[in-house]
Amino acid sequence: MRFGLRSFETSGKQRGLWTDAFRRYRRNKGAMLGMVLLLLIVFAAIMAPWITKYSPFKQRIRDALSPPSASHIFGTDHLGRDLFARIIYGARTSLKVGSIATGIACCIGIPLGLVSGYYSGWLDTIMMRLVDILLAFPGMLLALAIMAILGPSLSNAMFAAGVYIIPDYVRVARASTLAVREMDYVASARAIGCPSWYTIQRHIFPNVLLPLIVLASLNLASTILFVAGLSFLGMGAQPPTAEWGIMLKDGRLYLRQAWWPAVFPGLALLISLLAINMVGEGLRNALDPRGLARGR
Amino acid sequence: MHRYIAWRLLIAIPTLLGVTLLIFSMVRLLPGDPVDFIVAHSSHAVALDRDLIRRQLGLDLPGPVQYFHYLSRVLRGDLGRAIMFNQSVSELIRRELPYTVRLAALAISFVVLLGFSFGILAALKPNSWYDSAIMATAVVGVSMPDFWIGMLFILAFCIKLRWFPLLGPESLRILILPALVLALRSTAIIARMLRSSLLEVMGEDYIRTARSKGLRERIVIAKHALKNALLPVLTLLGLQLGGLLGGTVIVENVFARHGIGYLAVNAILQRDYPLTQGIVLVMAVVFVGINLFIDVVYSYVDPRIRYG
Amino acid sequence: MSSSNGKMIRMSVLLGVMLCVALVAGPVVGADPVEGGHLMIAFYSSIQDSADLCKATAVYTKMIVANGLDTLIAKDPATGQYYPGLARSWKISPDGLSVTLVLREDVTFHDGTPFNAQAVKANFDHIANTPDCAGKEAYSKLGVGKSLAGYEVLDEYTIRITYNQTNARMVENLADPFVGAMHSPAAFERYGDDYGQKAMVGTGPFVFVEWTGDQGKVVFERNEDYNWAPEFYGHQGPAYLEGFTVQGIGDPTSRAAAIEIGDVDMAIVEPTDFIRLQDAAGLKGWLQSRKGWGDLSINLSNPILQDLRVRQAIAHAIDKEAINESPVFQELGEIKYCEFTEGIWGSDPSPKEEFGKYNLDYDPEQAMALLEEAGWKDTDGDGVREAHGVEGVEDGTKLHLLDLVRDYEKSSHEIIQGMLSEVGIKVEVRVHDFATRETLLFEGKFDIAPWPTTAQSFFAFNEEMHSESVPFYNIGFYGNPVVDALLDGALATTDPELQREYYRLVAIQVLKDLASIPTVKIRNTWILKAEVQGVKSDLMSVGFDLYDAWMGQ
Repeated sequence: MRFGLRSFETSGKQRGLWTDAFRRYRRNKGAMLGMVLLLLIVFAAIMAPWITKYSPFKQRIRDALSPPSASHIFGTDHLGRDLFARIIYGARTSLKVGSIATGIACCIGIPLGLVSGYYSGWLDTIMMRLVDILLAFPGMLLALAIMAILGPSLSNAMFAAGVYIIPDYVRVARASTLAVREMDYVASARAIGCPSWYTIQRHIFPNVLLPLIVLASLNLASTILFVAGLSFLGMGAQPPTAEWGIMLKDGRLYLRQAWWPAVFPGLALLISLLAINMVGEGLRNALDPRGLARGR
Repeated sequence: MHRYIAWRLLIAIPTLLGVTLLIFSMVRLLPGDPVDFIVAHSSHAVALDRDLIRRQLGLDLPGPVQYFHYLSRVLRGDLGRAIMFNQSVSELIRRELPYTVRLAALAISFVVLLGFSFGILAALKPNSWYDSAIMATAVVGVSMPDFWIGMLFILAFCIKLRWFPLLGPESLRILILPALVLALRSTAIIARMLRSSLLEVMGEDYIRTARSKGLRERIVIAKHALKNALLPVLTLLGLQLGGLLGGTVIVENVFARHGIGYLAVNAILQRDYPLTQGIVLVMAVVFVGINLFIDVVYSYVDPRIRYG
Repeated sequence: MSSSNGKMIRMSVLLGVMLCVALVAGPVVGADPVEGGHLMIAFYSSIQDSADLCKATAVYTKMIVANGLDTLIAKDPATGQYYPGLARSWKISPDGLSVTLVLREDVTFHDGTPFNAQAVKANFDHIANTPDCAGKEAYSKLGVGKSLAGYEVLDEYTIRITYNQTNARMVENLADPFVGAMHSPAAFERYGDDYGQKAMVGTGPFVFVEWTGDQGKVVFERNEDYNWAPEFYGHQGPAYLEGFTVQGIGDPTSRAAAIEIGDVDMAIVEPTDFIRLQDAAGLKGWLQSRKGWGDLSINLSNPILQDLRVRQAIAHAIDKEAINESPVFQELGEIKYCEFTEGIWGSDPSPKEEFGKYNLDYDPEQAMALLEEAGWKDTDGDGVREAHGVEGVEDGTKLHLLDLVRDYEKSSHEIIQGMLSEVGIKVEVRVHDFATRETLLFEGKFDIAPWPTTAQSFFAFNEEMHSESVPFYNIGFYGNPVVDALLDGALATTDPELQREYYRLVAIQVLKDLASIPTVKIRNTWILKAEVQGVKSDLMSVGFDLYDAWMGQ
C-alpha cells in the first residue's frame, strides 16, 4: 500500500466525523447531482411495475422497431418490446447484479482483511501472498477464467465479478486495520482482555468502514459495467432477460435501421455509471480524503 | 540497487507459482471428473480422446505430482492442446498475441500522451473553465461503457465519415480507433490522478521556493513538480495496464479484430478449457512482468523505495 | 431509353418472381467476362471445420471447398440435369444395382498426380476407413455398411459401384461433393490426419492455398491447368478469377460494414442490412433460397412432447407471418407449410397450396385449451404451466422446454420463445456453435431445436424422418411405420412422379404427427459489389460457385 495511511488519526469521535463528512459531501455539487440521479434510478428500479404499464418481455412483433412516440417513449426493440420498460427493468437487473457482486466481495474480503491486519504475522503474510496472486491477473481475466469453468449466465458473471474484486477489500480492510490497530483505544481494549473478535467488531470495524464504503461505491460501477460487457459479448445475461448489455448487443444489429435500441440502453448505462461514480467520488472526498480506497 | 531488483524478481516467483497453482486447481476444484467436465463442456464433436486428455492433464497421477508435471510442461512452453482448433495452445497464443500487444502498446501511448497533457493542463490553473471541463470529461470517460462507445465510433468514423478502415491488413490507421476506445478509461483516470498529484506537490515548500526564485510556472511544473508528482502516477499506470489487457477482450470483439481477447471469448463461449487456461496464464505472466518492470523503473526514479 | 427502362423493370420483376428458386447473382447479360481479380468474401466466422469433406460437419465447408473440387457426375443446380463430370459417362445396370463409370483421361490433381479409377477407389476407401468419417454425411451417402456392396476397378479408367438394393439416389450422390468429389490419394498419404487442416488437393478450378480456422480465413487460387469443366458452365478452361478468399467475420455489423465500405466484394449479411444495402450505389443484393427441409424439430423421446396435444399447442401458438414480418426476417424469410422448402418441392403447386390445409392456424386460445386438456395448468400464477396428472410426468413439473440454437437463429427463436410464453410454455433458448449443438442434438439433449437440413432433392428426407435414421439425422426420435414404408418405397422406385407422390404423403403424415413444426426459413442474404458477375448457387443453394464468376471494371 503506497498511499498515505495518515487518515482517521482524529477518529474516536465518530459523530463529528460523520457530520463533517456529510457537510463536505453536500458542498460537492457533482456528488449531489450524482446522488439525485442515483436515487432516481434506484426509485425507478424499485417502482418499475408502477412506472410503466408495459411488460419488459411482452412482444408485439408487428410493432417492432417503432420509433419513440407518445405510447412508447423510447420506442420498441426488434421484437416489439417496449424499450422504456426494458430499460427500467434493466436498471433492476444492473443494480441487483452490482450490489450482489460487491456484496460477495465485501463479505469475503473484509473479514479476511480485518483478520489479516489485526493478527499480522504469518497469517498476514500468507493472506497478502494470496492477494498478490489474485492481483496478478490483469483486468477481468480472472473473472473470465471463472466464467470459462462455470459457463455463460448472468449469475455466474455476477459471481465472477465479485471474486475479481475481493483483493481490493482485503487490502483496504487490512491497511485501515493496521492504521487503527496501534491506537490507544484499541490497545486498551486489548489490554483489558476483550476477546479479539469483540475488539475487531466493536473497535476496529467501525473505523475501517469509511474507506470500504467508498471502495464499495466505486466497485458498484465497475461490476455493473463488467457484467454488462460480458452480456454484450454473449457471456452474461441470456434472453429474454432485460439487461442493458444484451439490449445493446441486440440493438447494435439494427443500429442502421433504428437508432433507439442501440442508444437508449447505452445512455442508461452511462448515466447510471456516471451517477454512481460521482457519488463515489463525493464519498471519497468526504470520507477518505487521503485516497486509501482506490477501486479498479 | 541490484539487490533490490534481485529481491523483486525473487518475490515474483512465489506469485507466479501461485498463479499456476490457482489455474491448475481451478478445474479440479469442481466436483466430478475434470475429463468429464472438459469433454462435456468442450465445443467440438471433433473426436475427443478421453484417455489422451487424461494423460495430457496428468490425471492418472497423484495431485502434487500432477502439479509438478503441469509446471514442468508450462516451463517448457507447452500449454497443451486447444480443443477448439485442435492446435497447440502456445502456437495459437503466439499467433494472436502480436495483435493484442500492438493494440495495447498504442493504447498505453495514448494514455500517457493524452492523460499527461490533460492532467497537466488541468493542474496549471485549478478551477479554471478548462480544468472543470477536463475533469467533467474525465468523469464521463471513466463511466463510459467501452463496447457502446466502440460501436458508435465504428458507425461514425469507419462507416459514415470513413476516416478509418474497419477491416483489412494491420496498420497504424486501423489501430487508432480501437486503441482510443481501449485507452479512454485509463486516460481519464491518469489525468485525474496526475492533476491531484500535481496540485498536492505544488503546495509543498520546495515548489514555493522555486517560485520565489522567480522561475516561470512552466519551468516549475516541468522541472520540479512533475518529477515528484509522477511517482504515484507511475504505479497507477502499471495497474491500468492490467485494465488495458483485460479491456482488449471487449475492444477486440467490438472491432472484430484478432488478438488474445478475441481468442479468449471464443474459447470461453465454446468452453475450450485448455485454451482459456493457457490464455489466462500467459496474460498473468505478462502482467506480472510489466509490474516488475515498472517497480524497477520506479526504484530508479525514487531512491527512497529501494529499502522500503 | 424508355424501352431499356421498361426492359429493366421487366427484368427486375422477373428476378423478383425467381426469388424462390436458386438465382444467378446479377444479370450476366451484356458485358463480356474479364480475367483477373481476387474475390474477397465476408462470411460467418464459424469456419473451423475440416476441408476433408468426409470429416466436415458444416454445410458451408462443403460449399466453400467445392470450388476446389470436381465431382464424378456433375449436376446443373439451375435445371437439376446431370452432366459428365470427372466421369465421361455412367451406365446403370438393368437391375438398378450397379453403376459403371468411365472416367476422363486428361485430368490431373493439383499436386500433379493423375486422376484414374484407382484414385476413385482410394477416395471411397478413405470415406469408408477413416474413423473420423464414420457417421458423417459422406459415409451415409456412400452407403457404407448399408446399401453399398462394393466397388471395383475394371481398368485404369473404369470403375463399377455395386449396391445390394436398388438405390434411386446413386447418381445424385455421385454428383454430391461429399461422395463424388475426388481428392488426391497421394495427398491423403502425405498429410495423414492433417489432411483437410493443412492441405486439400482436388482437381477443381481453384487450388487450395490455406485454411486457418482460428483466423477464420480460407484462400484459394486459380488452377491454370483446369480444362475439364462440365458443359453446363458458361465457359471452359481456367476460371476468370485469379482466386478468392473467404474471410470469417463473426460480428454481423462488421460484415455489413465490410461490404458497405468496400473492403470485400461480397458478403453474407443480416436481413436488416440487406434491405438497406441492396439498392445502395455500386452494390446489389442476391437472395438465395436454400434447398432442403426441416424446421422446428421436436424431441419425441421427451414424455412431455409425446402428447400430440402439446405439440399441437406449440404449433397453434406460433404466428409464422408475424415472425417473417419481424425485423429479424424483414419479410425475406420463406414461410414454411411443410418440411420441404419451395426449392425442393417446386412452385407448381406451391407448398402453401399443397400443404397449407394441413397446417394449424395461429390460435393461442386453442393452444391454451389444448394444454389445459392435456393436464398442463398454471395454478401458481407465475405464467408457466405445471403438470397436473400428465402421464409419465411428475405432478408439478414446469412446462419448460430447452431450445438449442446457433447464434444466427437466436433472434428468431427469441420470437418463438415470446410466442410460447404467451400460452404458458417457458422456453430456454441456448446458443451453441455448430458442432457442439450437433453433438447435443444427436445425444437427444434438447426439447425443441431448429433443424434445417440442406439438400439437393427429396431423397435426404429419408435421413431426417426414417426411424432407422435415429439419431443421425432423425434427431427427434420420430418413427412411424407408414412413413418408413413410404420412404423406402420412394428410394426403390425410379419413377420420379411416384417418388414425388410418396414424399407428398410423407410430408402430410409428418404434419399430422407434428414431428417437426413448419415455421419460417431463413434465406441467405448476400450483398455484392455491382461489378461482381456470374456468381452461381451451388447444388443446395447455400453457397457460391465461382467458376464462371468475374469482376468487371
